[in-house]
Amino acid sequence: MKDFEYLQPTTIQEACSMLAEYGTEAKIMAGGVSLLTLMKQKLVQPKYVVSLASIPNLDYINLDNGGLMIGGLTPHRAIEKSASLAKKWPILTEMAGNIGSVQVRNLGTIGGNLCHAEPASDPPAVLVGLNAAVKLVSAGGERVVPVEEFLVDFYETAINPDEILTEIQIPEQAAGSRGAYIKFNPRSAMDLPVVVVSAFVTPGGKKGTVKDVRIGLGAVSPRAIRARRSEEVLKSKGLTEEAVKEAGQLASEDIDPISDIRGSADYRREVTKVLVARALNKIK
Amino acid sequence: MQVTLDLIVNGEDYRVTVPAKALLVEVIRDVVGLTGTKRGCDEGVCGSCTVLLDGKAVCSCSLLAVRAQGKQITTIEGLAKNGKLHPMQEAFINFGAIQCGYCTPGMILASKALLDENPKPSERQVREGIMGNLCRCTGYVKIVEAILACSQGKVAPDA
Repeated sequence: MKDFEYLQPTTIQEACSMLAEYGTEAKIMAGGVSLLTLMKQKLVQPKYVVSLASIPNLDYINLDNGGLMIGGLTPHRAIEKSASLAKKWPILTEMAGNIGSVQVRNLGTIGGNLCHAEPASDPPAVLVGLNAAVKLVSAGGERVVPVEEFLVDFYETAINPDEILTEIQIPEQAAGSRGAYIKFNPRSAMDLPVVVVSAFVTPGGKKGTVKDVRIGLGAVSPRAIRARRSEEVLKSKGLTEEAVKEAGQLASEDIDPISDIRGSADYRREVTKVLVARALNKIK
Repeated sequence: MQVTLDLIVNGEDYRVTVPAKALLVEVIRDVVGLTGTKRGCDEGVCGSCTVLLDGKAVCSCSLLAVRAQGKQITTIEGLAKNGKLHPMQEAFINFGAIQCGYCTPGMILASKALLDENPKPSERQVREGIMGNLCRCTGYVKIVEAILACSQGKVAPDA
């Protein structure tokens, strides 16, 4: 790794002014797991590393008013082990517990995961499905951006060089909503996902109808996406066997997967088709 | 940039001056001189560099040494007390959970952290708990047996 100046701001304001001063020569270090990997491979060589570790109050899980707010510096392990999340948001418990190993989860943070924007990752697909948003803070103020817009491309987000992701906000889900989430990684327990599917359905008044549905797909496009054509079909036709199959088929067409050692693009399309249907059938 | 760090390793204080970019594994091995912690993949995947940070298992290759200041760092050397091995170490030996030994320091620390957080794990929970520690020799069979035995207060197979 190349040498760098290691900075330890103790407030968000201090960190933001450092980022404003050093611009693209600086990189934020949250947990540091992904950043150090990039730095060791010399893909990223910041002159300044702005560590967030000394800033208090960025590691929290707040269940308030039915919604959920998670501090950007909350480690995956804390999300995995939170008893209140396990009761009210079990999909997040499962999502966090699926990331890497215990060692990775003890250091890696949810905010760092989103900012790293690795396509083959679970949180983006789940958070997109949940309609989550992120709060970005800079010296000039703050803004809230939906995760779906925040993720731009592989390893690229909408964050500005002088901004810090301080919070993930998940809105209260409509009454009666049910969700499912499937991580597909056939090789080994610790591997990156090959396909990630999250599905959240709010049933309509009549049995079998769908008032609202959101399907998040991860690891099969440069960034996590919603399967919007699939959602339209389900909203108009309900959770019928035919509509579920069609939803799977449309999802497999709307993704942009790569071929790599974990599988070919065709394989990923086929698995997406199957898993979207499977997730919806789990909810039925 | 050089940094001067106060590190607490196995309960002992060390003051070291190292580059800011020094990884915890480098400082533990090359500066403090404790070579029980191994450097394997350098990517946070194999777990051979596992140490405990305030009791939690982390890969010391995935952490700058400066990040470990003010925390209790436990390496494999810190488990035995006054020449007496830790029960997990005893169990690994008696169950034959060690072959080449390279994964062993990290594996034992991860196993200890596992039982500290979950004293009576199921076999599945044990296997999930050591997911971040790769072993190329044993096939994990004896490792899992040793951990489960340790969780029941045993350090050797029943006679």
